[in-house]
Amino acid sequence: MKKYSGDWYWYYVINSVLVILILFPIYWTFISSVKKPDELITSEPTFYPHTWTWQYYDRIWNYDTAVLTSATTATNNSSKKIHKTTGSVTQTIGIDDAFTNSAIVSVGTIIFSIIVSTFAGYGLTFFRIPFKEVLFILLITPILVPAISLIIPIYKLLKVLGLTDSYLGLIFLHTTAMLPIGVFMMRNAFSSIPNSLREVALLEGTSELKIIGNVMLPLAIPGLLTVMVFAMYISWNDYVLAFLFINSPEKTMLNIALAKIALGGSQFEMKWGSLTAGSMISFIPIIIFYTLLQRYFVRGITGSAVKE
Amino acid sequence: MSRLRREQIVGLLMTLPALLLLSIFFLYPLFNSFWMSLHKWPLFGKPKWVGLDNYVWMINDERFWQCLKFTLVYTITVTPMLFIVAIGTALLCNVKTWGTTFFRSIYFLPVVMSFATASFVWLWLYSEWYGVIIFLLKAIGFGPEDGQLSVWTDGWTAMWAVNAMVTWKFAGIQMIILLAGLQSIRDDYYEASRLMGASRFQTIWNITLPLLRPSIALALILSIAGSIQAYEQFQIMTRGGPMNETKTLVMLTIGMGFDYFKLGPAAALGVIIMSILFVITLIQLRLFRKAY
Amino acid sequence: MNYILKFLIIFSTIFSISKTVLSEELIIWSRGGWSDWMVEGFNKKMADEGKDIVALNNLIGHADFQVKFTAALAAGERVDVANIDLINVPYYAEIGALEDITDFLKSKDYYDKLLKGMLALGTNNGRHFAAPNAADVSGYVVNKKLIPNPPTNWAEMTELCKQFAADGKILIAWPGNNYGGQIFTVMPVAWANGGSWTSFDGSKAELNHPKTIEMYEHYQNMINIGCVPKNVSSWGWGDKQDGFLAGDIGMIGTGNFMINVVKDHLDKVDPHFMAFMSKDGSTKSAFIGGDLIAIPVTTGNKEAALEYIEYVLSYEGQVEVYTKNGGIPVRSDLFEGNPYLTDQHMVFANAVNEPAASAPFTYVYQELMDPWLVFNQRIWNGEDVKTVADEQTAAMQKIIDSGY
Repeated sequence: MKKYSGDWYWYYVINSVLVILILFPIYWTFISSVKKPDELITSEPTFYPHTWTWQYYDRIWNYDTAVLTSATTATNNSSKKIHKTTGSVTQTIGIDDAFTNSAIVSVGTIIFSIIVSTFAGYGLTFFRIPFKEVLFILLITPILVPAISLIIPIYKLLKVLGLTDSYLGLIFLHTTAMLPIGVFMMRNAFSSIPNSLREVALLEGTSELKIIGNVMLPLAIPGLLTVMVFAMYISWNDYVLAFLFINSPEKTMLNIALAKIALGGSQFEMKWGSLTAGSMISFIPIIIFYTLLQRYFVRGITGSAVKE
Repeated sequence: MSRLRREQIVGLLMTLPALLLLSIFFLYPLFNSFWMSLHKWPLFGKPKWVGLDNYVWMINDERFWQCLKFTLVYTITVTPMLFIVAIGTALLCNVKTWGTTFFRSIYFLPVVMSFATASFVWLWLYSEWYGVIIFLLKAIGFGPEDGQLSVWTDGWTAMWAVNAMVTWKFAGIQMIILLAGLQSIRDDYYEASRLMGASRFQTIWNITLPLLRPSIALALILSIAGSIQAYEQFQIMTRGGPMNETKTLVMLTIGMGFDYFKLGPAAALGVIIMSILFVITLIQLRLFRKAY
Repeated sequence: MNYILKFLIIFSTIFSISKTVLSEELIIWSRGGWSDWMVEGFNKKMADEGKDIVALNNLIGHADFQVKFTAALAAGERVDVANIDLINVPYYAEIGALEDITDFLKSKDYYDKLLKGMLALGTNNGRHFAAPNAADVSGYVVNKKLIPNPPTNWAEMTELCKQFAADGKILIAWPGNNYGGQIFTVMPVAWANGGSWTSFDGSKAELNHPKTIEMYEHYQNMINIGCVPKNVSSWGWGDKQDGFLAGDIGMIGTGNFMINVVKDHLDKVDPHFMAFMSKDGSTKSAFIGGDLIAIPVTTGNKEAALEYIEYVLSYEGQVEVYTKNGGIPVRSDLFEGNPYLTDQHMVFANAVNEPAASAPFTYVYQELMDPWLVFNQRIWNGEDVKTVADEQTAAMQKIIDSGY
């Protein structure tokens, strides 16, 4: 890194302008989600909210869920969002449920990724496995092949396994997508732990599992956190797989539910408030992850090459 | 059992979950996709071997060429945009001063947002009636007097509109990659060039960029690979319109498989996309081999 | 070892939490909001007759139905009864996804009163695989507050167009961006004029029929005159409907469901329903759309499913449930003396009997939507109609020829 030796104010001016440009869309989304409809749907937008309302958050959070309805309760069941003008009926899901669905899959992916990557990384580091290097390369290959090319076979596979339209199916797919990063990270993490540490513990009679749990993992926490951060990133932000492989309305993921709001209805219909509110809701968990664990994002991309 | 044998078995068992996942959800579909692309797969009934017919059919279909052309045009236009912004911000962040970390985290922020969410956000910004970007453009003087200014009615403007969004979203990742490379350049080089009286521009051109080659290579490979697989941004923002002018290869693949249920051709399309990616990546690696 | 065991236990638990269906429950997949009432009525009847059949309505909605249904079929998921958009049925019948119900239908005394156009779409090689279920018929709706004298032929329409353009108002608008909407409300005008979309058996694309070209030139002319928004090629279904209901548009193409929808907007709209017409106004037409009801081969209880279909086609189902809620019955013997069919409804019901009224027969509807939409949009954007028609017909023909 160079020590800055130029004109101070230029540096700050340029950076400030860039920061404003980059943050503007997010800022705009936020204020749009809290403006009252009159102020929002206008051809003369205001750059800070003159009015304030939480109605959009309220509305989308509590959309009624349309699920398999038993006919005997049909008359009381006003839970379908009936499009007022076209008369068509769409099955939508409350954003709270969609949020939960995405959370379930993300947490599942995190847990599975951590387990699978840790074991694989540990095995590849400390054991003399036949074809160790080959296996390692194999585990990295998914990053080179686009999942899109494989969606049809994956679809058939899920059907055979009975995993279509299931959280577990998505979790497995996301975890597989995480394999390259996860195994790579954990192997790196374990490689930097001296072998002697393990040898001593083995001599003392501790089981392998205990070693992993009590000795290795605490030392590999940065690696673990990186895996966690990326698992969350890949799983929470996934659109294509969630779109294609989840069919039931009650299992819809957050991104897809928001897409339904965005793309449904006419352009005159006031969906923008709901959409921006939904976007903020979707953004918040990942922002939290990011703020707390920023360095692990960076580390994951560069393999800890960037100084903080 | 020898100690080595035991170690091998335990080691393999440890890697087993990962290998299982890999085989079931990656390797098997990979081979299956080649297999499927050589058959006709009716919804009910047995698949029929058709050899390379699916490929021939796909290559003879105008839709394929239209989507391929657009995907390539998109890749060629968005990659430089991304790169320029990334290298600019990387250079800016490569200084040791108060605020650098803060700026860096802001530039990286759009990366963590999901692609779908970013698409919605920009869809709102570009909204024909109420979007703020349209408002600002009109204020500057763009757009017809009477009508609405819409970026979506023309394929070309639609693409650039999406390019802007993608640049905003992904420049951060490229920036980090380039930054890592920048930080590995030893200060001596800069010292030497300063002593020789080189201007800042000359320094960047003759010292920084060449030494940065491996990072640039990585950034470009990732960027191009991602662009060729573009799906969400266009599916959400343009739906391939107007009139399929912004339809990408992946959109065609998904449509072929999930809307028209032509599984054989869809699988063939997937293999074609994979091959294109493979070739392009190879070419890039070749070109950048000189860096080593 | 216990790690693997734990994993297996967790796996199988999650796995078995998937839906289990009791075999007496009938799974119905529907598209329209009225289906809830239909299923409710059916369950009540079953209870009254002491039969142990309960139907469960799964309301999928229009947008995703085809994709979800086909995916379910491919996965072998149990669906007992499906209400399918009629234009997709030939495909399902052809690939063998539906049960043969010919004998069941022929045994009914109303068999020859079932709407022929709809029944034809559910027929494959002389056997019936689907029955008409719910009819959606299209036509114009005119706002008499804006147009006191609705046009009876194209010349009058063009005259009105000039007047409206001079006043800067919108006479007519259509969903240029919506392929289904246009085949429902724009194409039938061409049919009235003598054109067709595909040949009767779906083997030839016929967009470039001279009469069709004539009609499209008529519509394109109206855009040029200025009484139609210039950007109509990007209008969606909701756009034109919302515009009409707000009193900003003189007339639009719509369907019989509009009869109920417009009731809430009588302050702005004085509705007059009429059929699509040929150039001189003598021939009328409509798109006879709607749902056909069928039993997928993945059913678990064909007899109970047939009971449901019987209910749907009965007087109670068609009149008390469906027509009462604004639909057009699919049995022509139920047009007479139907307490719920108003004059407005009869406009649509009569259109059904017009010889030019129909719905296209095709095995590859989904794929054809692409060139069909492009055809429309290119014309609305101002290109020469004949050129576009020839090119898009060729594109459609190519798709038809390569099969499903």
